[in-house]
Amino acid sequence: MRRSPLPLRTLLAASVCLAAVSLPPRALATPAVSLHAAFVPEILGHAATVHFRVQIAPTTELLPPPLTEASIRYPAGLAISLSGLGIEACSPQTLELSGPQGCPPDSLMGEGRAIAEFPVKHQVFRETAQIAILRGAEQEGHLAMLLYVYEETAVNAELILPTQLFPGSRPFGGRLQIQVPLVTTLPEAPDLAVAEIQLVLGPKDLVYYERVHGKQIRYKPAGIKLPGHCPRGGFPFTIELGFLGGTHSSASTAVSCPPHSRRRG
Amino acid sequence: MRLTIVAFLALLTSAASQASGAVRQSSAHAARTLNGTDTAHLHLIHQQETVLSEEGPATGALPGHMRARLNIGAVYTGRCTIYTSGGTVTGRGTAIPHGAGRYQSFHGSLLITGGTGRYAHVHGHTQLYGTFDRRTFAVVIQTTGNLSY
Repeated sequence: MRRSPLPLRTLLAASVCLAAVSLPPRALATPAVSLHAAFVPEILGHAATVHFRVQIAPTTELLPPPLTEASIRYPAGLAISLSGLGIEACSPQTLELSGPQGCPPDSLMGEGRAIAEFPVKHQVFRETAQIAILRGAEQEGHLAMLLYVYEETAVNAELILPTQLFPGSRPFGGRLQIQVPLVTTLPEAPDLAVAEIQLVLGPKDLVYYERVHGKQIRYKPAGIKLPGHCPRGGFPFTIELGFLGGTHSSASTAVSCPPHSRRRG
Repeated sequence: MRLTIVAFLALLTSAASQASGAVRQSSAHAARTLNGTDTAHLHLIHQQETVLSEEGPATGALPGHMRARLNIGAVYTGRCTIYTSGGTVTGRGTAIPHGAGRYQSFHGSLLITGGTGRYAHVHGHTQLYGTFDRRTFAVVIQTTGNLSY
């Protein structure tokens, strides 16, 4: 398992100032997971931005075990690959060298944030990092994304989460498979635990460029088009999380059909 | 969303084939063998998830009007029909996309599955090449091969 150092600001301060006493590695319990999803705006047949929020809570331990992978299934009818998001691609090498600023503007597909937790002297510290979602090069025909996790105030606080989009079976339309590298914290302390991830996939705050008749034109990408019909029970989402040690947790949710929408059973 | 498809269909060059004597008789009907390149420009009519319905004019060896239904997935699949003054030619194709930029190239094959009118007995198999514009959904298709009708 690949490990990445992530010397977050709080982590550095805590290690210096608190004479940290790290918790020993512990037996891993299955954490509780909750999932929230939303479409903004939620207008059937129109393009939208998709919001995800995953919260991970420990059951008996101080912290949830380190996250190693996440699989998000989204409802049928959302053609992410034909959303107009991620027209160009960015390479992991470019991201590592220059960050999202070095990538083509048209490769940005969304944003998000992650909340990480780590223990110091039986106390849990939380740190928030930003996420940039960029399109990567296709892998065996499947759309690939790069989740670039960074903290603007810290040094070397960058992390790339390779993500792939696979087809899904009804009632789902596809699956986002996210690989999460382990992140070391203090010596002999557990790897960083993820408490929350928020992802916003869509045209909100995005500006793309294209050349028309020799002129550079700015435009906003369309976004993820919602189906014209709402399935019975709403639009289903599920998430499955894999943790270090082999434990798994999952959660489901559904985005309610908008009022007066046509439902399909 | 507006979609334009520029399709090069290497279906048949009937005039050239007939002039070069590529017309053969069979016991059932007068079979002709055709080869060449054709071009079609299509635009988006409807999008249902990853399935794009398109149509537009075709020019070149087999001029007419093309309608196509393309599934843009990890593998491109689709079905298209060219409507000509002498009848229709229908085929289904499969292509593998490549590349990571705005324009994705692809290559594959097109199987001619049937026709009407002059092309009622059409059959054949051609190679398929092209590009797909992820911004406008414009597609350039090139096919090369020959078929009989």
